[in-house]
Amino acid sequence: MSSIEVKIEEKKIEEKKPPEAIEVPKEYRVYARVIEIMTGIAVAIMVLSLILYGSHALPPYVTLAEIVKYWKLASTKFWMILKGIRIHGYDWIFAHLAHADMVGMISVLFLATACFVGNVGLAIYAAMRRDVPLLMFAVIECIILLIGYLKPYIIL
Amino acid sequence: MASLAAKQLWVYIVIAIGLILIFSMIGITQAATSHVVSIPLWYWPISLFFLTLGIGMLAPMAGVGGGVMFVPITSAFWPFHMDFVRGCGLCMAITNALTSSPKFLRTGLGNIRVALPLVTVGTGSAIAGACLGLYITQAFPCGKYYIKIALGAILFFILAIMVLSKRVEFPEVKYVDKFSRWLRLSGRWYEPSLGRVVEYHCTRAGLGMLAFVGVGFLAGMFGLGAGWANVPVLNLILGMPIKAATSTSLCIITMTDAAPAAIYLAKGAILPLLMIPAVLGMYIGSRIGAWSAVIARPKVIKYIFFAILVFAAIMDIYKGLHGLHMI
Repeated sequence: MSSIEVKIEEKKIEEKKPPEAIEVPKEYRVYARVIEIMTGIAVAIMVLSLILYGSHALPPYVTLAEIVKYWKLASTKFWMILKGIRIHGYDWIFAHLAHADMVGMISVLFLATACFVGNVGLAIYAAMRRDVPLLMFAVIECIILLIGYLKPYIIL
Repeated sequence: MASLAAKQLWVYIVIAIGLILIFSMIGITQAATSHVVSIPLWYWPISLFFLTLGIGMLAPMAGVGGGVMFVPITSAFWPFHMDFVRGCGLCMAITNALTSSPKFLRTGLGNIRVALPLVTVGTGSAIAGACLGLYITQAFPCGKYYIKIALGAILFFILAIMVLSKRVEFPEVKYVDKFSRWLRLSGRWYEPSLGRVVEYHCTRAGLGMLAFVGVGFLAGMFGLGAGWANVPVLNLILGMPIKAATSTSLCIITMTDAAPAAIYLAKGAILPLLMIPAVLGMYIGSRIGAWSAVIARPKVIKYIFFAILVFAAIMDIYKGLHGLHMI
């Protein structure tokens, strides 16, 4: 390749670089970082749960044999027949954290609440910038998410 | 060189489809017999992992998320109750969206300002959809069959949207209404293929919010990611460029599916020993799929995807009607 060709190639690469003028709002980066961290934790917990289950370090709350036997039942019947409990809320997960499979349940809590934490971050930044539309919808979204999370305790 | 790459791509596609077909068929044979315990127990989570790995590999090439393939396939071919299928589907959709959206947000392609007004409505209706979906399966003895029939019908609706809706790469927005102007629904990103910064303005935010009432409801009720509906709404109603719309759709899924996932968890409709292999399979598969989708997106993949979805929809409706003793 001649030196002229090399120069042309370099110029093309230079042109393809994104201009520094593209400044992504800081709240977007904060939201991205928050959900990245929380998803990373969730996936790590899933892997940990599998290791704990596979290595028999912790016994499962529900064995695979029990799952296979009753998985055709609706979730409420499944738990009622298998454990004699009526599942309502999250207390039952925390009450059985000494079981490998229940450790895995914590990962779902991280996945489900990642956007809530991200939205709190968005609301704070929007308030600091006095960005009324963004603040308003971030707060509304937080409230709706909270209602969703706490629904089992709000409406019986 | 090019033919070698094409060959590799076809080997990849055959592997992905093979995984889906093999593990779907095994699900059918096991669902058809009552002797499910006759095979080694460890086989179930492993086969679920490989099924979702195959879906994850194929879905990005077909331009869809994994949830829209997982829920119909497992509900049609596997013996799980609909509650567990939907709980699992939501966890997969949300993990997929949460892992993909940060990179789009950092480049400006994902637009939270556009997503937020839509998700406030979408999340509310998704909560209502999740509650109704669980109520139907638990309050009515034949509830799961109603859900299966509805899912089959919805799948045909999804297919119609995917076939009929025309994607506009850069929609022309001639007028921005007052509400959208107040929300400041605009964005910009650097588009390497054009070598320039693309700027856009969105309009008809109110109409978009109205559409999201339905989109969120379906996502919550059937445990779908609903990217198939988010993108047309953003692209055709709000006038968002297609690339920004697909990226923003992922940001939307992170929020609309979050509350329903918590509701399914609070009702015991998520089983870790099924959910974890499925999510990890999808997590790995979608990464491989995203990489291969950059290389090529053969049109035939979309037809294969349509064929799988049509078959799953027919099976869902058949199983639902059969369960109700109507066939």
